[in-house]
Amino acid sequence: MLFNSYQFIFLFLPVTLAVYFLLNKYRLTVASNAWLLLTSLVFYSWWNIKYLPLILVSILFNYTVGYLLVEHDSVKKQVVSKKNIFLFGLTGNLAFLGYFKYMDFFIGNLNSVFNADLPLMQIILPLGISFFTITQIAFLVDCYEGLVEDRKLLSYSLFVTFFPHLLAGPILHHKEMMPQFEAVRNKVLNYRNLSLGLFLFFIGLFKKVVIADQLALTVKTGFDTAVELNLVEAWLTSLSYSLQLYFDFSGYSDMAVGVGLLFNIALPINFNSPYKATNIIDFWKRWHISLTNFITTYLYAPIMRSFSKITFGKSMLATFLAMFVAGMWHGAGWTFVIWGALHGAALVVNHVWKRRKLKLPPLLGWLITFNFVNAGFVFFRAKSVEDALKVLKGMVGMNGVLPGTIAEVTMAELVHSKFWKLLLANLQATNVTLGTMLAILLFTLTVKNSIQLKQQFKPSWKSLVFLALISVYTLSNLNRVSEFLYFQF
Amino acid sequence: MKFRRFIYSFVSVLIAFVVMNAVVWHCWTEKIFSPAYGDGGDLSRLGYLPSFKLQRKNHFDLPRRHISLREYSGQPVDLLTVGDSFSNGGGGGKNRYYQDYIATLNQMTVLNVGMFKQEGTRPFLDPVQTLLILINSGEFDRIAPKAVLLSVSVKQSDLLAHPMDLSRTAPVEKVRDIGSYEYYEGSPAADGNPFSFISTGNLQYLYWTGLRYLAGKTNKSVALAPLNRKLFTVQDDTLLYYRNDVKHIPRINKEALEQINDNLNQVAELLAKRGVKLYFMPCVDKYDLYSPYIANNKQPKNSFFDIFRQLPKQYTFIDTKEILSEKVAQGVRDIYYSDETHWSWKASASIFEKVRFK
Repeated sequence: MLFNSYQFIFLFLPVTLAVYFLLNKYRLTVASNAWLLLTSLVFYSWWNIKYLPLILVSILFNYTVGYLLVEHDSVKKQVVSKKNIFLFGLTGNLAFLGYFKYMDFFIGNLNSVFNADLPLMQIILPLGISFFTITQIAFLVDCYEGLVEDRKLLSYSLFVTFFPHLLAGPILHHKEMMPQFEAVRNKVLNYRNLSLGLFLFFIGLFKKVVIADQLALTVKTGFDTAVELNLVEAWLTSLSYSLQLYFDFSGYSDMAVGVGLLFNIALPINFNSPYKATNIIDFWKRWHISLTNFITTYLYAPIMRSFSKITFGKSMLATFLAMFVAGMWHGAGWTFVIWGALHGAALVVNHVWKRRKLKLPPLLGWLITFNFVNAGFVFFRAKSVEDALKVLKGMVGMNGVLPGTIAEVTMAELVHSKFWKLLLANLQATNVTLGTMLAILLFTLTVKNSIQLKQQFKPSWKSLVFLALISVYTLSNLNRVSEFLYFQF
Repeated sequence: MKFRRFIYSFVSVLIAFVVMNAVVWHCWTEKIFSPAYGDGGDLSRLGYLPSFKLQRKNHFDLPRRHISLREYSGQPVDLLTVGDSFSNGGGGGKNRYYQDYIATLNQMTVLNVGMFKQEGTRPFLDPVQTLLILINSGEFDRIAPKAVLLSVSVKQSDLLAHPMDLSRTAPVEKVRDIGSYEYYEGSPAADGNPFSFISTGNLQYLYWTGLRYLAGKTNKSVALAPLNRKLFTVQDDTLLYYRNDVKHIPRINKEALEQINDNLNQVAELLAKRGVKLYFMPCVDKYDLYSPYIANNKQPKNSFFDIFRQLPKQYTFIDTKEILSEKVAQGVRDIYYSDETHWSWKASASIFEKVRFK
């Protein structure tokens, strides 16, 4: 089920919320958590019920391995070492993810290298598999390190499947979440949280429906349909995607945090105006924050711990490797490998730069960072390296600067301002005008982000009118339901 | 304001919004937006005018059908058609493709190409450039039709009024991927997005209905004109037409039409070298066809056909205005549907009963 659907907004959410607090009102707390688990599974199955057993098996597997890890120290006769149990759990998760996500990529590369003709398995990627798998890997790591206390199956299952975060994050940590499902104070309807939750939800919905979806057609045409792109078209295509991805994913995250708040559950923030970053380290502190935290804790730190002696060079190697793996996590394809490697390399350069105490004017730093991120996202979006190069070639002007009809305009026509009419017509024909694009970019760079708006939120007639207007406008424009970009990862 | 009051107020707004949408949808807008009420009806939809909607479903009852480029599998082709929405079943309802009348009445195999999109992110090409890409890419020789019918609606004819690059081409392997004019070809877009009872259309309907009653204004895309004859089955004495039918009239002049004619003559020469005959069918605009019957008409006259008839041609010109004007003068209703900017099956049948392909 999608957040941006009428079924979710007018049926699923109100019913789930009403029954949840009704059960809690009668102090049926276990039943209320069970209800939330049940509705989360319905939310997941709405896409395709065939994959429900998959997530259930994954939960039971990880819960069992986690239980064995936690209980291990108290067992007198230890048949299998704790490390082996952990490795078994880790391997199981990686094999699970590897099969569904990377098998065809692996076979495709085997075919290329050995000139073989092995048939692809055409496996459909189950929704949210990357998210719920790494969430559970983190749980196993914490079980191994003795950091897990709450071992109730219901709480654990709810932590993994809680529908606001299930499909595209934010990536949760059990230590932050499981106590919240048990806390008595969270079982009472809280009008403050309801107000803040609805405020965030509709801001997120506005970002998705009104901004991100408007850019989708330009992105699709530029990346998938076009044979070649000139400079203007290529920049419109790449900027459209960078903005689409941001508004789509941050919109989803706002909605997820908002829905969590309706249930008095605080989910971590995921975005903090990333396109305002003035260097790439800053960017990763603002973009997909829960992923950055996960990478730091569960990838970068273990790699560092594996070194006998820590040096700056080794920490840079760990940084690069962590980003490289993060790139692979996003998708099975060379475009993601390149994207991860590019960001890994950029982080290394940024750290070296920082260590040498070199400084850049903030505006120049922003310009370099934004353009790097924008160019990197070309690989992130393109279906193949060739498609990415097609857009990048256009961005550096290798296919001409302006649309053909404009390039043919004579000086006389230029004087008679036909040029401007044609330019406008051509830009409008790309589905998104340059003016619209600049307006969205300016909006992104200057307006307060949703988290800042939430912090300043006070119930008043002014805020009521604001919320009513954006929600009515967005709901009216919702009749074309589209999926969120991050579901595919 | 307290949080509790804020929530109750906001939920009330949401409930009022849903109820308002349900009422407007059920009473009025479902008729113009919902596929359950049939196909076609672009003008009633654009103008938020459900009273003009003529209920009809796409269906075919002719014994012979044309084939589309996507269905084409190498069979011999008698006639290749290239054109805009008029050539792609735009009007909806019974036998919406005029190509089916050509196929049936002439016992011919007709292949409809539609109109290619331009490379990059730019919009549709015109029919002539589409044909040139087919010819120069080698695709045309592979199909090897005996004749070609180029068609364009008069209001879009200025697309052809510029010097053309006769060598224009695209890679052969890309020709089929360029994306032909599939809007009316049964692609998902053809059926429209599934309209929910909540949509901006409901608010727009209320806005434009209010303006029409209070200030006599219609939506900027469409216009209404009283007729002195009953020429439609729905809203029989009122003409609903696309404003562009009138807006483009100042662009019609001898110089522009000579340029179009010159382009077509060059294409005809190019085809003649291959032994292929060219037909050109400009589709008369709805306003132009019905303007003699508009009471107290103060809008300008469309002179396209008057000028174009006089020009020297190396191709066969199909005078749709002359053929259809005769039918309208006889009092035949719904040559154009009341709710459409495209003509109906009656127009297609009338034209191709008169124009035969040898």
